[in-house]
Amino acid sequence: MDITLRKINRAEVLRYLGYGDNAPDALVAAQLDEAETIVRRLAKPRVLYRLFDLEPAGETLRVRGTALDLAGEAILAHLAGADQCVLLVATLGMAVEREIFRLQVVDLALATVVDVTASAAIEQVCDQVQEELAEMTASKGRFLTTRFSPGYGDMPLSLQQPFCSVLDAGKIGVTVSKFYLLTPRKSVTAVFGICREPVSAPLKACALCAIADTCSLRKAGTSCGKFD
Amino acid sequence: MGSLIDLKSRCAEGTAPYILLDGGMGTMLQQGGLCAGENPVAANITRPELVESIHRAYVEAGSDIILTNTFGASRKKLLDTDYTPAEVIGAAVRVARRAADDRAKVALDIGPLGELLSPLGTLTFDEAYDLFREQIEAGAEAGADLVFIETMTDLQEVRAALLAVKECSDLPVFVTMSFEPSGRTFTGVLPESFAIVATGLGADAIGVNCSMGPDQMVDVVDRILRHTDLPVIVKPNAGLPDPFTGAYDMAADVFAESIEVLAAMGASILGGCCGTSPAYIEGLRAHFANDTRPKLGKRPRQSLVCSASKLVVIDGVRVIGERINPTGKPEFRRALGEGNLDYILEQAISQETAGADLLDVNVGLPGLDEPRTMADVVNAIQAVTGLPLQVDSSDPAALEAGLRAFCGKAIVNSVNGDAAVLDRVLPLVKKYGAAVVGLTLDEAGLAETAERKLAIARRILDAAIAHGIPKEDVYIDCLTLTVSAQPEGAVQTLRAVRTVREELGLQTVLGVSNISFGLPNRELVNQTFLTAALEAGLTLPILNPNSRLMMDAVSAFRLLHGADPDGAGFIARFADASEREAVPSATTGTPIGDIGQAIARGLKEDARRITAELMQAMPEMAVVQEHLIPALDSVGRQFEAGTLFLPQLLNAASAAGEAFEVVKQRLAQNGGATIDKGTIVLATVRGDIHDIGKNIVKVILENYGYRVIDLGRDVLPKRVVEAVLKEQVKLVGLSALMTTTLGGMAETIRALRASGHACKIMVGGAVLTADYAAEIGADYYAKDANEGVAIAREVFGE
Repeated sequence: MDITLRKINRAEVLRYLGYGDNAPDALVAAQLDEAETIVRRLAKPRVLYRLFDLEPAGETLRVRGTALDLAGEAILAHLAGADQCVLLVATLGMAVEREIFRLQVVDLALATVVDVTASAAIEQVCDQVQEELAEMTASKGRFLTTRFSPGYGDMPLSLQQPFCSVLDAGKIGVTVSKFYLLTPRKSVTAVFGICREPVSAPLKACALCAIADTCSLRKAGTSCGKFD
Repeated sequence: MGSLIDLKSRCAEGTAPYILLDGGMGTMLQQGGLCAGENPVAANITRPELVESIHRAYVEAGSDIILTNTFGASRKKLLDTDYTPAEVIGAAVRVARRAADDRAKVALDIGPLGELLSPLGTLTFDEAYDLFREQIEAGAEAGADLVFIETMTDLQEVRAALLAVKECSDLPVFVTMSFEPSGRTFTGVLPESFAIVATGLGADAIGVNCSMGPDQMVDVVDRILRHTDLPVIVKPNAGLPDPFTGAYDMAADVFAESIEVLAAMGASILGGCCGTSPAYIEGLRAHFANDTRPKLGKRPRQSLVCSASKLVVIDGVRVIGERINPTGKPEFRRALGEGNLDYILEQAISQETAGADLLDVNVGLPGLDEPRTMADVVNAIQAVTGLPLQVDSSDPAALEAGLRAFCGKAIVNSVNGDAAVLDRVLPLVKKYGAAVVGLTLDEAGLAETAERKLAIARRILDAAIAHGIPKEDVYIDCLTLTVSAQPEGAVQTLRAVRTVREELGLQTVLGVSNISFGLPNRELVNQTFLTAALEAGLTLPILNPNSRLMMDAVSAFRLLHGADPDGAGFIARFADASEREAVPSATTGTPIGDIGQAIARGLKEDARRITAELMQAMPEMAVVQEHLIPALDSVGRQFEAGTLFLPQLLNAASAAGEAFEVVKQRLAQNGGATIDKGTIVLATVRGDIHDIGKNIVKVILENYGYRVIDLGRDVLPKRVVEAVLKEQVKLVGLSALMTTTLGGMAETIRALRASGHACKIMVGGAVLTADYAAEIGADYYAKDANEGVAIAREVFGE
């Protein structure tokens, strides 16, 4: 399924770059504009998602009808009360990836800004899907949790592989390396829970995260999964 | 269906019926009870009766070829099962053979490996090749009749698989890729490039599967048919899937009618992919029974080369950039010797920007492992440009390494009239489906007259044709001789170009700038000779595209020969030029002389200008010590304090880089000192392709006068050790972004320690902590680029 990219959230890009609430100078502002033009021109956002039932399986949650078990304290807490889930894979495609590699050779500052702009863009793509799913879920009188990805909290990155196998992520060009790196890099896998009761505030996954102490996003006042 | 071997000739004659493949396997297995995400290949062993019943249904529906249930049977995809590729493939072929029962051929099905290949991913070409080889050997051993490579989206992966089939078996091989409605695959592969490359590598049939329904495939199939003379395969999905249920929307009878359109265009091997079942194949049988129209790709005879993403048709002048070549370029030689690929990548990008259509790649340097360097350089260039490459070497091993690494149809530079050279190199040209440049010289030496040049060209052409290389892939270099040494040479070369073009009808190549060695005003001589040669019929000048005069001449020639419709290219070229000249260089209002401001604000032009002015008043090194370094320190302090941010730091580094460039040029002119505070090796470790962080550290260290040997991303530990030992480096910086690649960092540190070399190691990356750095044995943890500078100052004593 194809998705049209909305205007990229400049404030989010600036936060990723460590600006907080500071304004960029004229040169950086021009680079931000150029980066947005590049990302909007080259990004071909695509997503795949599917609905599954959940069933407890010992210390993990089994995604029914698949070989995927969700493991880790954080995801079990996040999906507490959920009896179904939606698995998602989303990507900006290969062209942005190529351009970031090319720009690193000729203009590292611009490359950095494009890289961060693309990170914001793929999160926005996921936000858009999340909005759609929340509406669909609400229309059935049920409630969607926020999204949770391998690597958040203590959910292992190694789950990238089964996420991608279950969704057949190759169908939108997403592959997993043996180091559990997604390519194109600007790709995301995630799971949403579907609950019968309204969902309480998103949990504090940072508390369970291995790199919470050094995380540059936290220092910049944000987080990978929009946690508190 | 008869023998596959004579398929091509029977297709051409119109005596072959349509060949029917089977339909979807995965969906039917899931209907039979398999889990989503579970590798279905295990079913060959655990549920053979289920697999066999699916195959049998297809045979009974009319499939002439059935594909084994081995789409994901690589060692990589079997890791979480208890089976080896040989076990599942052996079982799969046996099951299929039982179901086929002599009524159908059994094809070993091979799908993508599920991991992106280098340079944009981390799976190497050789690793991919080995994974395919293992499957193919198992399939051949088990008695498969042919190999069917399908659902590919990366042309490099297709090449690895095809080469493995050709080098490790005698089986016929069919290949299909999956294209998007945009007309490209996910990785950007053009149908034309796929057709040209797969045909050149010796596939027996090629085509399209999955991704789309038959109605969406028309354009892609047409483009493939026009770039191959092989039978063409179509294996579409049953229309388009419903995004929520995954169900496909096209019924079996409609499917057959839609395929009729593709068959009428020339497709001859027909089947189904996702959402199709035996009913769809039955529908095809009913529709195409007894139909024996002639059907083959209709490739016109035309000279063309390509990368995966770019097709270059040589139907006019096409410029080959000559700059990737160490001859006479000390800086290039040093970069090559150090394995500093970024320098070479800059050359690639700047030539593309200047208008080159192809790039020559020559890495011949005494003492260097030329085949390995050629493979590395060709691989890296493909990450930053889509231009097709010309692999340039006198060493056949280096030529083969370049041909193997290049994802596309390359040009081999070169052979000559010497029979020994022709016999060594032409088989490589044929094997990899390349084009070849033939030089008009032989064992007796350079041909000096036009007549002898033509005779040698004819001999090269005959030899190429004897090796199965078509005439349009033979290009002749009539050789430019230095006019100051051989006054007759230019005229003879120009005459030869004309006769090779007119009498043999071949493309012509010339390295243009040799003409003017030893003369004043070389550019004028070069430009005049280029113009004369183009007029004589030169189609592939090898030149420096950054030379404006040369590219101006090419542009004017295209205009005059009607190759530039409405003169749009010419006008745009000079509109740009006048605009560039009209912009004053200093536009910014920085107070004159304030280098600190210019650097802090990232103003490159001002930084250059002010540095030049400062050098009027004080020695170069004083400018560095009293102005540039303090300016950088100030920027670094502001970054630390959080009053200046990462993009500004990088813009400042880039402005400072311009200032240092001015200083270095002056130092070089005076033949005096160089700025060199010590050498540092930097690498992003094995498995990690996030190298922006490492690149930031690099530019900052360079600003401070350190020489950085940048080994790039996804670097094996042994490469780091080699570089450290070779250059006796005192400081190494390693970067890793992912928790999963920290292991690669630890491994690299162990390898460095095991080498016994006493270098210091600093590490950095988002997920790293000082504690972990100490735990894996690093000497320093650098949280950012500024700390990297502080560490370097400590190690090198400043």
